This record gives sequence, C-alpha cells and structure tokens, in this order.
Amino acid sequence: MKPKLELRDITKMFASDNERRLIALNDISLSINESDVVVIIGPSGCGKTTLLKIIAGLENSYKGEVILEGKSVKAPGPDRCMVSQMATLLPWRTVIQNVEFSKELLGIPKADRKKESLEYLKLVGLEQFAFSYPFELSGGMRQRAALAAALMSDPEIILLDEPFGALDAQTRKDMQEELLRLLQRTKKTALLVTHSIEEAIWLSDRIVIITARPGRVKEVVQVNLPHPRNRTSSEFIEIRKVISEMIEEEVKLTKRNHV
Amino acid sequence: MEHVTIGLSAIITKDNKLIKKFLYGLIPFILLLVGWWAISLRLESYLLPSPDTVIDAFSKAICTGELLRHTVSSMVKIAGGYLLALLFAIPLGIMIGLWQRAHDMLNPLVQMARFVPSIALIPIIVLWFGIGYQAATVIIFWGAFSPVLISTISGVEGVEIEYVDFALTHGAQRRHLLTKVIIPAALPDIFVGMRLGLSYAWRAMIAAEMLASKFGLGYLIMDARWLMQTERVIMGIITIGFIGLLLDFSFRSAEESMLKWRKGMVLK
Amino acid sequence: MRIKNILMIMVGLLIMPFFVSTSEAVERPIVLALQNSQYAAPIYVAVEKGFFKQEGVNVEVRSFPSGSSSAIHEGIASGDLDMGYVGLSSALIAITRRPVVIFATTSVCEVPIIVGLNSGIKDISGLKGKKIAVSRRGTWSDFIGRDLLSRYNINPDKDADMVMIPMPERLIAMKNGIIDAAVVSPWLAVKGRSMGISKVLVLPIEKFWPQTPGIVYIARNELVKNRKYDVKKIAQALKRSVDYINQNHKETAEIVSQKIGLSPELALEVVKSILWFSDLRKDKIRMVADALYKSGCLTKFPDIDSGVVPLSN
Repeated sequence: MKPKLELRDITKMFASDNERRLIALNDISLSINESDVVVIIGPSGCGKTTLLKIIAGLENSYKGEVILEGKSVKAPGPDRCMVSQMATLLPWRTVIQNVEFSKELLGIPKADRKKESLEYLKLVGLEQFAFSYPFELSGGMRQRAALAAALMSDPEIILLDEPFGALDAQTRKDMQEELLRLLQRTKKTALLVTHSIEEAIWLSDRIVIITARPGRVKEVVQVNLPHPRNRTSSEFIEIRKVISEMIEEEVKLTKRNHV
Repeated sequence: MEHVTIGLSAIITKDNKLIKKFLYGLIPFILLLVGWWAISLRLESYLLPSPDTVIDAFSKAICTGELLRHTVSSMVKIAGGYLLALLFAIPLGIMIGLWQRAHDMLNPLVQMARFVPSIALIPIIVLWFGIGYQAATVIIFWGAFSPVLISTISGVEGVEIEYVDFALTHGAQRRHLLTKVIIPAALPDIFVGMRLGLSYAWRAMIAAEMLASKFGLGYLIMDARWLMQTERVIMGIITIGFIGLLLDFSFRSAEESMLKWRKGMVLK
Repeated sequence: MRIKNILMIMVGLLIMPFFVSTSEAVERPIVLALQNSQYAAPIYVAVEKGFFKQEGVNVEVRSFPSGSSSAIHEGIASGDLDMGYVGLSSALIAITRRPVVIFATTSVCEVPIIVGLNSGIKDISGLKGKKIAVSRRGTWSDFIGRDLLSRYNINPDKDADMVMIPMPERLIAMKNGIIDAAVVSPWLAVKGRSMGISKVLVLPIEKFWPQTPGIVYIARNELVKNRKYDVKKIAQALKRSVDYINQNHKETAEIVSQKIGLSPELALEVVKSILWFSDLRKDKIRMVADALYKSGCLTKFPDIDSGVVPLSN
C-alpha cells in the first residue's frame, strides 16, 4: 500500500546573524500510512514545529521532498491543513465563518457551506457558538473551533502543532479524548507535535523521537496498545519510561552544546 | 401626575446607562456656559461677548440661512478632498506595506510629506488652482492623505503572520490573501488613520477658507473678524467644533459596528 | 516643598501682567504700529527726520506686514499696541464696536483698479461679468471696489465675480489668467505695470472720493484721555511729515524704496501718485460712513463727532 505521506531527506538550514549556518533539521525521512496517527516528540528547539510547517507548505526554503499520495508537494493548501499552536482563528470572522473558510475559498455557495459547517460544529460541541466571535470563546473552545475548521477543509493529512499546550490538565484530557474520537470517526490521517509524552502515547500509533539540534530521527516507537488506553497500565508506563529516557539523553546533549 | 412620574422614572431607569453618560458629558458644557456668562459681565463686550449676543447671532444666521449655506459649503468641500485622499492613500498604503521595493522607494518621500502641513502649501495651491472648489479639494486632500497613508502602511505591516498562515493552510490563493486577510486585519489601523485624516482635513479646510474663499465656516469667521463682530466669530467657532464632533461621532459609530470583533482585544 | 515653591512662582508670573498693564506709566513710550507699505511713509519720514523727538514724545514703532489691519485693531483693543493706522472703513467699524477714536490722517487710500493687458477690458463697464480680485468685506478696497461697480450699474454680486485672493498673489493670478481685474495698492499697480502684466483702469479715489481721508490713525479712548498731550504731539509730528513729503518727493521715495522693496524710481512714482494731507475732514468721513452703512458693513451709524477727534493744529 502506498503511504499517505512521505518525507525524503528533509534538511532545513537557517542563516544566522553571524554567518554561521544553523542546521535545524538534518535528513529527516518518514513514512505515514492512511489513517495513521503519528506523534512527533523531542526536546525543545529540535525543530518539530519547523518540520510541521515544511510539510504544511508554510516554510519553503528547505532541501528534500514532501510527497503526498505519491505526488511531490510544496505550496500550502487544505490537503495538508495545519492547526497552529495558538489555535489561530481569524478574529474578524465568526466561528462558523472560520470553520467554513476553506469551502468559501473554493467558491462553494453559502447554503451548502452552512449545512456542513454546522455539522462540524456539532461534532466539536460548539453549535451554540456558531455566530459568536473568537474573542468570546475560551482557549479550549477556540481549539475545538480550529479543529472543526481543519476537518472541514477535508485534508489528506491533518497537522497539529501542540494543539493542547495552552490548556489546563483536565481540559487537555478532555480534548485528547475528543480528538481521538474525531479521528476515529473521520478516519483521518494525523500528524501531531507535542511535548507531552503521556499525550503522545495515549493518542498515537507511532511515536517519532527527534534528536536535539540538528534534528534527526532518533527512534520510532510503535504503540500497539488497544484503544481506549489506560494511562496507568504497566505497558503504558513502560513505553513512557523508554521514551522519557531517550528524550532525557537529548536534553543533556542540548545542555552540553550550550556550555 | 402619578403616571407621569412613574413613566419618567421608568424611562430613566430603562436607558439608565446612556442617559447617565449623556448627562455626565453635559456637565462641562454647562459649567463653561456659566463661567462664560460670569466673565462676560466683567469684560468689555468686544473682548468677550455675552452668551445671549452669541445666541442672537446664531438665530439670525440660522433664520437667514447663512449658517446653513456656509456649513454646507464647508462640508461639500471636505467630502470631495477627503474621499479623494482615501481613494489614493489606502491602495498606496497597502502597496507600500506589502512590497519591499515600493517601501524602499516611496518611504523617504512619505516621511517628508507628512511633516508639511496643508497650510504651508496654500500659497502655492492658490497660485496654481486659484481659489474655489479645486484649490480647496487639493488642500483637504493633502491634509488627509498623509495620516491615512501612514496608518494604512502600519496596519498592513502589522498583520500577524499567523493569520496569513491560517488562510494559506485552508487553501487561500494570493488573490484571496489581500481581501480576506490583509485588509480585514489592517482595518482597525486604517480606521484610526481615517479619523485622524478627517480631523486634519477639517482643520486644513478651515484655514484655507480663512485665507482664500468666499464661502464656508472658515470664511464666516474671517468675515466676522473684519467686521469686528466678535459674537459671530464665536458662533463660527462653536459651529466648527460642533460639526467636527458630529463627524467624529458618526465615524466612531460606523467604526464600532464594523469592528465589533475587536471588543475582546480592548481593555475597558 | 519644592513643587509648591515652583507653583507659587508660576502663579505669580501669570498674575503679574494683569497688574503691570493696568497702570499707564508716564515715561512709557507710545507704541505706534505701522503696516509696511507706501502709506507708512509719514512714519518713516518722521523717524528719519526726528520729528517725534523734536515734538518731545517718545515713540516705539512696530512694523506689521501690509494687510494687517485686523491685527492692528486687535492689538489696540488688547492694549499691546497704543495706536496705528488702518483704512477708513475698518476704522469706522471700529469706532462703532470698540472704545477707539480716529485722531489723525496722513493721506487718501488710493486703490487703483488694474486690469490684465490681455483682458480686453477698456473701460469700467467692461468689468461686467469679469473675475475681480478683492479683499475682504469691510476693507477699504472691497468698499471702494463695490462702490465703483454700483456707480456703473454693475451688481457686484450678480454681474461680476468677486474673488478673494491674497494681495501678494494677485499679480501672478492675473498673469495666469485666473483673474481679469484686481483692486490693489499703488505699489502693486506700479509693479504690475513695470512687469508688463497689468495697466491701470481707473483711480477710484481720485475720481469719486477726492480729498477723502483714507489712511487714518486710531487709538484707544482711554489713551487719548490719559495722555492727551503725547497723542497731540504725535499727530503734530505726522502733520509735519506730510508737509515734508509734499515738498520732498525724491527724498521720501528714497526712504520708502528700501523699506518696501521697490526701486527708487518706481517708489517715486508711487509717492507722487498719492495725495498726502492731514486734514481730518469730517464731512468726507460722514459720506463714507453713509455708504458703508447702506452697504451693510456697519450695523449702526457711527457717531462722527465723538469718534473723529482731529488733534493736530
């Protein structure tokens, strides 16, 4: 079976101020299959967000290839819709206008859009707030709206950059459950970046661990536990320990490089 | 009688906030009026005419239609020049804000132009355009142009990249970005510039009318000055301030209804 | 403690002028305003020849640009200036509204009507339907201009287009064809002719208002009362100036040419073209007041007897 998304030798360099070239990502290669949920994790500053942006097409000076459904892609588009870290919504548009934005851009008439967007809002539990403005919503609600918008754009793969980072522990848990439910229901392929090892294990089929800068793929860990997963089960804790140690290693390396 | 008092108190408590605000705003005016009256009793009438002479002047000017004529003339003049300024400054501002090359080429000129007030150009403009509607339009255009242009540039430059990314990742093409992201995001700043431009234009126009015109509120003041009718001067000043207030108020209402999504971002 | 001191000093400084200006110290020089034009010649001559000193009065002269009549009126009203000269029309308006008097004159105020060389206007009736540059309502040039048109049955508001262009720009506006005619000052008429832009159509004062005081000197009632003798001395000095000018055109032209930026030859023309006299003729003034009142510039008729007080011998 052809993979949904393939990354071939992605290398990203930044030209820093004092002429020294900073290599953010070094030869990243990855393969993701349809309906996979893959999580990328690693120490701070290892380039996870940059990688996601490259895949989304929001970053375009890099070496290597991003291949979606067998075709090389570079420009941004709804086929690789990304939900940003801050759950960005366009503040001058109502929630429903944000959610149906992708369809509006395609020229789909209002009546048809409205039906679909209300359904997605129902899916994330925000149908009461369809005509509110983003400033009236809480952080968690905005995150849900951003998710609904991304899902409505019907992407081949949905990209999420630390989607629950700004939320409190309980809301975070609720949102993780919500996301999993949505992904299972829509059977979407998802690529997530997170700091939380627990979240990574709870959600993903595979975890990709990135090294400290310059970021390479350190390890890929399969998570074969059945859903719904128990955060306190011994297998869960075991995987957590393994991943934790690997990340610790990388963090130590980062510290050493800075000294 | 009972019904009246009940009705009155009902009205007051119903729109309590609005009436309260209005009454608060009225207090300085009342104090000013009382102070004016008191001082005018002590000073010569040619230095400070008493409020009743000014009210007389108002009623005379309103009955003869003189006040209306001059007010309309001023407003017509400002409409033309102001709208023209918006027409040029906003697109130009967007262009300069978005393209580095345009920015590099035009910015020095823009920065220099903003410091030249309309009044300084009046001698040249009168030479080239004579006096009358064209000259006034140019003077008003110049007054409004710079603030609108500069606010537009800053608004466009300040558009957060996150909004652009959002639009792109949802499938926006280049043509979409301008109308669906850049302009709405820059709109608050553009509005600020527009309001500022309006007040500059208004002031430039009054100055122009004072120097070289046959009609308008600025002319009215100058005419009254030469005829030493100080009460008409004050009448003109009050009218100018009042019209300015009306213009600003309607502008703000329009702004508020168009930008209601900003409420969350402004601390009250 | 410090801030309190500073505040007290500031308040003291702010209040001080109110106390200082109310007392008229006898030694204080009299502040005389002039507008820098040919009509200032009597004052320039008086200063140059020492007439004020000889009369025994201490005068401080302040210069204003030409066309500053309203600034001078306001300066006198506020006490910044003690006296100055203005056109007769604005002086008459002033005596109805402010406590001032007219106490001297030094000349007529001639306002040549000039026309562009290419305007095709041959006589006054040719002004019908043309664009004429004037000054504001209430000024002498506006008054005389309208009076002239009405004598030839031209309605200034309906049959001609009176446009307000600042004096310095009138010649260039005429050159560029923006206006066909203008009511100007003698020096501007001479300049226009020398630059090949305009020619003089008529001299309205000479023709219709002969021997009418045009440039008159005004001062606050209070000043004339408190320092009558000083004001008389100034009026006397001005009279001597007028007599001197009438006998020494060339020297006068030389004095004036430096001040107003004309060559001595052109200045001589200007000096010669003006009727210099110091007779404050009430009958002529009354005629002007009549016409002003009819035109609506005056809301009440001025009391000529109390408002015009000739003080020279």
